[in-house]
Amino acid sequence: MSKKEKKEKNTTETKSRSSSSKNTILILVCNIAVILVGALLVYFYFSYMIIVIFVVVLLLMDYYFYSQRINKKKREQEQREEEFISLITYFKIYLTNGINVYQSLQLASSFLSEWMKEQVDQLLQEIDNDKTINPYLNFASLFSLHHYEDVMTAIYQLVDQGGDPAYMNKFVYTFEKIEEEDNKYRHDKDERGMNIVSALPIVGCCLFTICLTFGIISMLGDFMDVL
Amino acid sequence: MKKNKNNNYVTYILVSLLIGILFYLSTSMLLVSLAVFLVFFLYLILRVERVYKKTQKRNQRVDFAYNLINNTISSISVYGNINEAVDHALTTYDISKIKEIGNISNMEGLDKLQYLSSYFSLPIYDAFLNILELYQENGGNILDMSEHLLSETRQIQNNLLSTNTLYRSKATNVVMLWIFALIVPVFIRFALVDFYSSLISSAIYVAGIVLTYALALITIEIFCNKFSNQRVKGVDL
Repeated sequence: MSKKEKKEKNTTETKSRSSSSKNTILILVCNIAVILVGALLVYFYFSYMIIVIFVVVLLLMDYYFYSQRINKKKREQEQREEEFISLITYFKIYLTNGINVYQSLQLASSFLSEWMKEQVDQLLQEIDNDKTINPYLNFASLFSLHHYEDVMTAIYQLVDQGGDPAYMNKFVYTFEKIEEEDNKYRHDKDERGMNIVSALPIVGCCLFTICLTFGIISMLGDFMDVL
Repeated sequence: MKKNKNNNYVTYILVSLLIGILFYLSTSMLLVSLAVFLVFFLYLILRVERVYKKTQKRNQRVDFAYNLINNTISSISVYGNINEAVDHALTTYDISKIKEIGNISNMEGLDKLQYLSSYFSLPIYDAFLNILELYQENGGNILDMSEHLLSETRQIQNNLLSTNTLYRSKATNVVMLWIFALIVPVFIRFALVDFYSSLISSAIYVAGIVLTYALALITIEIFCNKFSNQRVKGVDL
């Protein structure tokens, strides 16, 4: 590993450690804020119910933060799929400028993560030893979306036919369709996420209404006791 | 820039004050209202302001990069010479205002662009530099060579614009919904005047109001996360 690559790796590791410690600080601050407000409420209105509610809130909040870590694997898979699109995007840019497939893949992977660089290096080694479609399909099998195989098949056909312009057009067309679908999928995913967040005020209102109902019932209960 | 910063702080104080006042009107608990005001104010200053600054800087950097790519390629197609084209493309930007970029006025055209690569840190920009090197070595028609690059740049810019528009419109919806949600306890207080003093002594009712405000804070945090963690084609911006 060259000095520059070592420095970049150290910088990435430092960034990830610092973002992890920032996350920990955020979790601590949120927990302290909830405990502070809960303690004030308990000080004014001692009630086991308040303690239970605030413990539940604390647990839910901590569950939210830690579920972010549990979903890490799913996010990693999605990240890899995004990187595939990124790889083929830059690969297409270099390929259409007359650079050969081998060099285009190497140049395109240089912008991406260590994992992607390793996979591309392995693909290139396999292509050297096996001139069939298998290395391309093995690469596509790293990703959960099956239509990535179509792109790799198009690249294999392009290599097999010696860069025939018809196969170049086929590859560009196939990839652009997949890229369009991917952009639409990500935009729809963002919109779904935002719609869920838009429902939070309604959840807040429901929560308040439930607590109001219990409050009125407990108030009526006190009136009945007096009567 | 300083005026903008002061405006932001005034907005944060006003928003926190409004939330504190709404809480006080809902519960008549001065101390807890002050605590709510402080929590919201500190959160806005320490988290939201940081995310806002980071997002502004990022958006400016990304816009600069994409516009520079477009302008440089157009200028090269006109002038035919990279150095002249770069100097022309950079005249519309006041680079001296960007602290992260040093003094590049003494550098040649392509060297300036390569120096800016460390500032932009965008893969599409590095791909643009590689195409310029190819053009410098082999010549050709720069517009044909950069056809796919420019279409990619346009696509990324459009995606970013549509995502930011989506976030802004949803943020407006959510803010309006939260304003209505937080006003409901205030209306309850004035609508049920006779029962209010008994209601406020019920711990569950007060806890419900506090939880509603906590949920409002969580909503802001989710938005901050989404705004700050945008990725384009698998790369953090």
